[in-house]
Amino acid sequence: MNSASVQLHGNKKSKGKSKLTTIRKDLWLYILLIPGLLHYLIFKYLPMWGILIAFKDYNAYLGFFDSPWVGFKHFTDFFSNPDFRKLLSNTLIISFYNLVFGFPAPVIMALMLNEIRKEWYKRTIQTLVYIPHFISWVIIASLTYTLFNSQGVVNRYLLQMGWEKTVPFLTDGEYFRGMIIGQTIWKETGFGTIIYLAALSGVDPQLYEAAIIDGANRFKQLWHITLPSIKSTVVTLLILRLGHILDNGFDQIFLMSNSLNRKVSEVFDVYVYTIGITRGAFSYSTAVGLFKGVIGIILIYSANWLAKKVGESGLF
Amino acid sequence: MKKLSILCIVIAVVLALSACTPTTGGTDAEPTKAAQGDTTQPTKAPEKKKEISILAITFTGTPIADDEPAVLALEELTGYDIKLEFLLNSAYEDQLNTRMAAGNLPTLVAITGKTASVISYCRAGAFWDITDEYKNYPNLAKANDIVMNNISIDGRIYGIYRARPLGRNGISYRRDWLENVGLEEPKTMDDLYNVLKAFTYNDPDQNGEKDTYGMTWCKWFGPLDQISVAFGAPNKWKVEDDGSFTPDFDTPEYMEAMKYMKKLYDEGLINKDYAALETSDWTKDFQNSKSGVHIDVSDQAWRFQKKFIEEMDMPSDIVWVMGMPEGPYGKRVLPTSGHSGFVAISKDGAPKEQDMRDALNFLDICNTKEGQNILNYGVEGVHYDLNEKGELKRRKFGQDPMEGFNQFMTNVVDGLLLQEAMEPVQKRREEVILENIPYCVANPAEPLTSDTYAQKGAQLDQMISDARNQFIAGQIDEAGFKAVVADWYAQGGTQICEEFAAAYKAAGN
Repeated sequence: MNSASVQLHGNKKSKGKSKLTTIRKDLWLYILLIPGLLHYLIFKYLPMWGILIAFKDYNAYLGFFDSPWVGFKHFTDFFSNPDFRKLLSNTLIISFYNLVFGFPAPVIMALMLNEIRKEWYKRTIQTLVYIPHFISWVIIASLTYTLFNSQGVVNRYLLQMGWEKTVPFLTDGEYFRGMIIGQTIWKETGFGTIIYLAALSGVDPQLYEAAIIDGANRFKQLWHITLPSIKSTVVTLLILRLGHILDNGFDQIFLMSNSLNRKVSEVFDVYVYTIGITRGAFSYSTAVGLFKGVIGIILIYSANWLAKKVGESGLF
Repeated sequence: MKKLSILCIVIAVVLALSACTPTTGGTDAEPTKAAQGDTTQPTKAPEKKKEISILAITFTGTPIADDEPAVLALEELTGYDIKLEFLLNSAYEDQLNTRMAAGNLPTLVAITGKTASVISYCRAGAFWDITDEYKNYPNLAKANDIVMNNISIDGRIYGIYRARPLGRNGISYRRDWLENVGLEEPKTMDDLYNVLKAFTYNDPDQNGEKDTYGMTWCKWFGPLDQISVAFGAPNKWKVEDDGSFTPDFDTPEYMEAMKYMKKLYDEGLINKDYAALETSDWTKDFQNSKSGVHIDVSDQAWRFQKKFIEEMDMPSDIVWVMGMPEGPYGKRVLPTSGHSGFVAISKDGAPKEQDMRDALNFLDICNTKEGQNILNYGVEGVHYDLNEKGELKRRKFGQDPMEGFNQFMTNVVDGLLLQEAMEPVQKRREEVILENIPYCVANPAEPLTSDTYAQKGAQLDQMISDARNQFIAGQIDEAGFKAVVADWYAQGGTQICEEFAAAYKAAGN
């Protein structure tokens, strides 16, 4: 950090020299940047032209240029669709639960791991908990089916414990959100801890030593030293997370939904798939996707603004 | 500082790794590409053959390769250089949509049904209109006009149908279980209920444990539709005397059928989680002797029996097949449409008119006696042998070497296939197909198109099949179901009925 800021100042002093000098100085760094830059240009920015088909009646056989323009037709169709409110509320509720239960989980786990004194034990746990991240949703969905169906282990256990009926975990909308959040926590918590643990390892041990001398107990150390030191990481990740509030993760929801829980499982991501890919209404689903993106950007900006308001550094 | 940067690198690596975790779908196409690679023919070099590329369906993901003897035999017969490409069945429609959008279709494309996108691509001219062409080919001209009409779009024909026997549906059941519980093959739907009940509560496998149940269902609504029709509901649409259209789920017979299904569900005679069971796992419980009745196509009986013999070392006479039992209005059978979509000629793969004629010529040769037999059975001495009676006996393979080969088989001419040496259950199946035919209930809307249905049909259909499952599971009652039906009419159903009625009239009824 320090060296970087010194360099910045150095550049300011020698204003007369062009930027070229700076580039020449760090030539290799800039060359290293090129692949990443190209990746974003080619795969992220260039395809954005495709958004235009949200305003056209796209027919693949006619092609991109010959399909007729229709203005905001697809957007009005979407907003006046009776499904719109259902989709919006389902999406938001699942996202909200994910935010409330899913987001703090890795923070808590990282703090717990941080308190473990035996290094090898900590490392083992850490590795074990992030393994589920690498399991695909298809596998997780079938694991869930095997465990939770009416003849599965969970239900058999419940029956033995004196439950009168099997619990329809998979086929009743009431349990759907709980199952989704549970799966997400099981799969992603361990992986999420990595970033927080990285931030925690940067805390100056002298702070703890001083606190111990001042008579602070473990909990007070956690409250006054550990938490403040990862606060900015938490805020950054929270802002990023808010941008995805309309994404529920297509695979998971799609695999877990069925006709008996459709009332709560129909979300934007699945809707875009059903409309766009299975029915081939590319324009309409692009419009839906664009709507999601715009909301995401608005949310990121407002969260960032709010973070700055309360004295955090924010993202940009 | 140093520690942090190391951690950053770790995170970056882990993130990159996570990006590599396999996603579904993406990998599907790979084996086909690999299979497509080499089609060099060492034996025949001199004459340059016309190339014909084909896109078809694979059910296992290990389809036939381009250098398989059967493909070579078909190349020899037709004089074309065949390039095959396959997509997995489970994702076929989705991927076909993306392929059509990308505009790189091969010459021949197996189309599984008249979906909204298929209709719109046909209308936009992505496939050749062969209405006035196909009759010029001696074998294709023999195609059944009714089935051809069924695959037509706005009265135009965009391909050669993939023929399927009309009376193909049927019930497979465990014959030994039926004997064990002392019952006869069910004649009526009530008999069927009694059998299912006995299979659930009377220990049909005689192991002293209550570990069996009647019948397995899955996410797919096929068996439920068969039961509805058996109870007197129309096949999708009912044409009233004044020519107006009523959907099947708005008839009292449909409600009766749902009540019957609800009774099965409530008494635990079918699997409680069927709405969450993937179609690919549908047959598992029957195959593992946990359930004893399976309503599907009648071919399934032999597939079960074969697996029982070959993989589980079970007796060879335990699975039997029957047609749908009689309902309150007599025997009524849900037919298949006589086709499973069609093979279309794409303009991407056949840009010139001559290319289209070449492709039709290829399909015509495929419908000769030799062509049909190669596509169906393969090559004598490699895939099958003939016994002294001239009957055909297929050879056994661990993995079907011709998988997917018959998916672009059209078989529009009947009676050309070699007679197969059959096991009893297969013979019974052939009888069931013939017995079914006089009782088949036709879908009047089959050849008709409705723009609203093409656009919204899939979602509207889902509304109803969801509501039916909810009714069976007890989440909604009769009034709740009626409310969904009313909603169906409001969201476009009324328009669909009107459009079908108009199209029906225009077609000269």
